[in-house]
Amino acid sequence: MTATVAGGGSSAIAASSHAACARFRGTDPLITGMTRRNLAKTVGFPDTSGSIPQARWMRAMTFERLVRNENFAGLVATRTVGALGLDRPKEVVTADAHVSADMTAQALAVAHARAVDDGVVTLVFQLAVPFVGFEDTRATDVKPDFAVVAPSVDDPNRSWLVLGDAKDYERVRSRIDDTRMLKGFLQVAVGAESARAWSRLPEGMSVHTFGVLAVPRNAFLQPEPVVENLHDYAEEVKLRIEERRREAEQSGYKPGGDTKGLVEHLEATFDPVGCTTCTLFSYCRDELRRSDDPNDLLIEIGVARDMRRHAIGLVDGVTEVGSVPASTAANIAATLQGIPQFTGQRRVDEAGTPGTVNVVLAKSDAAALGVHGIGVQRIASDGRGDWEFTTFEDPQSPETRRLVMRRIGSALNRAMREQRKAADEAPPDAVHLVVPDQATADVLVSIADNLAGVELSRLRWERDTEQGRPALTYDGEPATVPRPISEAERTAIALMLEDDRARAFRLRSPIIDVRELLSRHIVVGGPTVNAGRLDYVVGWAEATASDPVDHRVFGDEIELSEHTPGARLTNVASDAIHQALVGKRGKHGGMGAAEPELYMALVTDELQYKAQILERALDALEAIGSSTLRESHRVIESDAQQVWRRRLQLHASDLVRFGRTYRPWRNSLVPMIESDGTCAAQLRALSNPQAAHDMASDAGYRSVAFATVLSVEPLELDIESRRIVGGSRIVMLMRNGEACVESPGVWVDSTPATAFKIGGLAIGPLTATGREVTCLRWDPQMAPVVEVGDRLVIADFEWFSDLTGNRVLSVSKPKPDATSAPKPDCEVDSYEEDPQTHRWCCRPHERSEAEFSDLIAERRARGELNPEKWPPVRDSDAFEVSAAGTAAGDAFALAPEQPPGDQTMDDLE
Amino acid sequence: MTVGPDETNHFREPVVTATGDKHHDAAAALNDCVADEASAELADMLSGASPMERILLKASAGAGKSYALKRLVVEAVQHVQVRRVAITAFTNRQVRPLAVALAESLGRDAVALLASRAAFNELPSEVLAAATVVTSTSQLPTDVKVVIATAARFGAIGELGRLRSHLGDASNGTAPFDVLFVDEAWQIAHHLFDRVTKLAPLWVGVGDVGQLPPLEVGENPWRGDPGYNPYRAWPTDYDGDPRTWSRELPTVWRPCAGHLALWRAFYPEWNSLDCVAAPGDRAVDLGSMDGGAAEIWRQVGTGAPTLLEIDGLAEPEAADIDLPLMEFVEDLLDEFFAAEASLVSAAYDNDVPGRPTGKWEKASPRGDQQDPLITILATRNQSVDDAKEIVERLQKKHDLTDRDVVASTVDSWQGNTNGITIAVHPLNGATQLDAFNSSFGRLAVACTRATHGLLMLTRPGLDDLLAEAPARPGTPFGEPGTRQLPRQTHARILATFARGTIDVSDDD
Repeated sequence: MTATVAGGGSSAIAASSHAACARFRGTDPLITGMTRRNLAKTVGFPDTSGSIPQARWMRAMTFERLVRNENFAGLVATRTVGALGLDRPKEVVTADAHVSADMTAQALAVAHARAVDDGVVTLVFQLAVPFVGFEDTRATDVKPDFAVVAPSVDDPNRSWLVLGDAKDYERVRSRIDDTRMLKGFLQVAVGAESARAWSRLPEGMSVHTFGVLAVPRNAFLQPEPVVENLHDYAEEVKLRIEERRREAEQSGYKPGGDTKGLVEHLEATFDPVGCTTCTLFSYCRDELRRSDDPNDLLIEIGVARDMRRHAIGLVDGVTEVGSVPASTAANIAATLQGIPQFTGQRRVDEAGTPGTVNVVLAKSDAAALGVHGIGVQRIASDGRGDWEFTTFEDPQSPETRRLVMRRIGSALNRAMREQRKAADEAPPDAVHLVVPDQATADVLVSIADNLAGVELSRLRWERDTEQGRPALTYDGEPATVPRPISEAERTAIALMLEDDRARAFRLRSPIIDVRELLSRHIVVGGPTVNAGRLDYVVGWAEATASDPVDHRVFGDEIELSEHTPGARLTNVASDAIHQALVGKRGKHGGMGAAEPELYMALVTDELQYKAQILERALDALEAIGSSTLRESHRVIESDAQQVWRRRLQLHASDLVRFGRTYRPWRNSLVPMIESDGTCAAQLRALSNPQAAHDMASDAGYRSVAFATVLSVEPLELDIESRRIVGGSRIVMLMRNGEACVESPGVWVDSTPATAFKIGGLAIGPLTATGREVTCLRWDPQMAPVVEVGDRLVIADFEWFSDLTGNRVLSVSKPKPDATSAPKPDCEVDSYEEDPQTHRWCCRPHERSEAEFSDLIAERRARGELNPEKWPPVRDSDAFEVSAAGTAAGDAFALAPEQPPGDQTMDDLE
Repeated sequence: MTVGPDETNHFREPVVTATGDKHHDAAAALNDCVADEASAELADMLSGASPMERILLKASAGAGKSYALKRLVVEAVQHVQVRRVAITAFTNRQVRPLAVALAESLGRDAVALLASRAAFNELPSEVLAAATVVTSTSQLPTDVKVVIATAARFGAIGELGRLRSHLGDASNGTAPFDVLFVDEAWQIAHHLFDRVTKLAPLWVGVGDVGQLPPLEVGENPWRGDPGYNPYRAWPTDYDGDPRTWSRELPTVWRPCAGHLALWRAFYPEWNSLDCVAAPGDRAVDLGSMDGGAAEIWRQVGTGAPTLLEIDGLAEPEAADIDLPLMEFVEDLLDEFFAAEASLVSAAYDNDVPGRPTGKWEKASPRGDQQDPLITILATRNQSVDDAKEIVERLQKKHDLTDRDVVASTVDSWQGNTNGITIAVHPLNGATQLDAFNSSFGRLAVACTRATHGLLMLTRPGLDDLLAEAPARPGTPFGEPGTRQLPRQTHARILATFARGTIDVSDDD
């Protein structure tokens, strides 16, 4: 047993996330003398939420080791030095400090001498440095994963120490979330500040003001360094460290004292979203649940601090209710009544209809793109088909990814065939993938992106081979040329990249997230963060007045549930599945699962739960009526997919993700994104009472306002707007919280090329009455059914169009993305016959990649690419192809071990 | 509410202050020096002696860049290698004064403003009188020297072809203009600029780098994409470009000396930043005012940016609609105008820019000053509506005009100047740091409009919020610039403010 006081350097990051909470600050390990996890156990609420799944831990271990792998160590050190404007190293040496302060001091001294004497750069890993300000105490050391020691350019007797950390952050659609990067650099800053203050730093060595974070450059954990100015991060950690020191000094508590009493007397600042990573989460939540103060209920369900004062009346029924957004009020009502609240929005989506394919996925925590299994179900004209479940014993192999795409692709191909048949000669309807959560969509799109990158690289290498050039990666290393993708694979990949390119468009829906969809129609009770899980929302959707939901009981049930509806697994399921797969010693190469039957059973169970939840969600959706505007939404997607099908058929830019659209394409996307945004806002204002209410309350939407009916004959309104005045023309959107567009007699014509025509709405001019400015007479062409005192939401007609008639409301359609897309008359051989004319519409990938391959070869010949170029150049394509024989992180190969007790997901993510 | 003389009203000095190394004509000369260099560079680029393709003159707010731009245009037009030049900017409001100013120097026939029909109908008569204004390319005089239009107008489909066929190529033989000048260049998004780049082979961009970005970061789908971003300000693509000659204008004209530290906080990458006004050059004459309000206005008049925390106000209707706070503003302004307070400035020489003449100028209510004495700036639309009502009431009560007091959103007040700015601090009433209250471009615009004083108001709790809010990321990875974190940036800016607290509760 070591005698160190726990939690010096290790819990430094959490300090920043929970700084506002006095209970968190007052229970610092520096005060209690025990880890936060043990503290939670001591007060009777062992932490479950912040713990780390084994597979996730193994991934972190794998990544950290990969950073030390000699190939990557050289790369990380060299690129770091390059990014800091230092000289290109003559040589890169690695050194291991074995997480010991003594050995770190020694390693740094040697590295410094090497840098100064020979100009050699050293990558020291597994460092241990006393926690800044606690050098002579027994607080746990700070353990930076690595540091780079490089000679100074200005002074031959000095060297730089650049602190670094390795974080295996996942790239979601090729991007790492900024809040993760923030946490990573805060951790680096803790290391840098500790090193700066350390008495044993070699003389002549300065800690650099920049730090480096090694993150995966692709889905295979291969590291790339991100170098960043640490100034503000250092300020942030110094602020927190000072605060912790102050708290520790002021606390009268002595380790071994009355821990329960200590915790009880500190006031918590609870937030159901941010607090889940704190080990005391369950304790604090329980405290709130036992309280009968109405304010505590609002805290428990996460109503924002400044909103509670206005909302408390909704709970106690006595206090006056202030201005509360409709969604918050509905959330409180649902909590109290135990039944879901309808938003008033009727359905505008196609989930559950023929042409859709349902997909559920079980993702491995051990690999960014690792998949344990997939379930696919197609909806045909005669209803839902059977689920097809597939489990994979090699979750992160390229074959698994291709198989995932093949399964989806063949279902899509069948769906497209059926849609074509159903349409007869007319353009067929769109196809959609329907998934239980955003994470499922993200994993699928990332897989598609990976395979598209491999395929495009393959086309370039094919050209290289034709021209007698060796096939090389971007960094100039020999590549392994894969086999081409199949037709079914291509369909799935292309649809997912279409979805990725459409991410800026609100009205597009190649992939439908059912959780988001259901939440558009119903508001659930309990903490809103719980609505992030589809099974929680489905449970609420099924609740009735005779069988209401207790939000706490049901919330706990969902929390304890072994399975999840989405791609990510619970810790329990993740651990069980991982162990069944890799056994005790780890799984190497092409080995099968350690316990094949158990593995398959566990994964299939998991998939079945997901499938069942997805179907129950679709059932719940069926109970919600169709909106008059559903047809318009259908037409938008179906028009856009006509373009997509031509891309797919002619191989014309169908494998381009959003992040790879080139400059003129991006420019042309701008007006499209704008037209889509306007159309989406207008359709929402017409059909979603809650959204229309919020727009009318938001002074930022000047074209939408509240009005009250003052008299019916003549029709006079009190309009709450400074912009909509006498002389304006208005259209009535809502009456007493009901959308006018859903009333009988309202019709929509979606066939005109550029706009939807909506008839049957009340439209007409306003004229001054001569009384108050806001009191206006309204003369709509079609007289609406209204009564005195009715609460209306109205909109300025000019927001929609500049037509002069008062009979029809015209809503401009968004323009489909036809850039770099084949035109209706482009044929398979159009480009070959007339490359000049068809260069920008239907030039197939095969041709464009061949040209690009020649370009790359020329640049390489001129020495403009890696490894010749200094500082190294970045691959803007970021294709995930690695050199043949490069080590890829395989977290499945390690023998599983328990994550350490003093670490939580806060430290990892 | 009354502000009694006994209220707590002790203002703390700013933690960070700055006195420039140079003031007056010595400071002004620093800008002239950069303008001279730019002028020489442009001449070399035109004659082919320099391989540069672009000039970027980065200005901080109120640096007198329009003056520098005008000089470069006039010199370019007189260059032997130049047949004609184009000038563009983002808004119609920005191109109009350029047309007037250049027509004054070059003559009415040499300068043409190309406007859309809608913009033409809204043109003030002084613009029509000063410059040639046309609505179609074919109406441009063929010997015109300077054509001015918004980026959207120049970028209309087919416009380049129309310009070439009507005017022919300029001296370079490849494009209709020899130089494309861009005013407020950092306000023009790349996708707009891409449509006008072929107008001329050489570009000169001038602008305030601290402007609001063309689009809120949160709404930008390419946020953090290291590649081309159509919504980014186009000059950011040429940071460190070997064919771009880029300089900062090191002196600001607008602020009083006490605001220099604040300016520097907004332009941390600047090598040096000085101001023309020396300590004591500007002041607020309080007139007949006394009591608590006088103490506040006296503090504002010292020139140090002032942050006043007001305690004891009635609860706001909602966090972002703070009527009680706006009523406090109304009372302060009422006292200002009731006392006939005015703004005093040292007059500078016309011939030696920045040199004091020893005379003083006074701007008083109902005077004919060019810029308003006081502007209330708000970030939320609802608050602007409230502020506008206050202004209407005050104008009526004290017989004032828009030259005395106005209210505006920060966004639409970019590029404008006023005597004193009153603004509500973006963190007022906030419970956490978010993208909106940490939008420093907007805060920079709000803080850098005033020549005489800046008064920021907030309810108490700013320091607590800044101490407790969880850290949040700043500039997204992949975007240009360093990633300053919101908390630290707020703290750096606040450090340049004098701070005071006042309790206005009735129950004492």
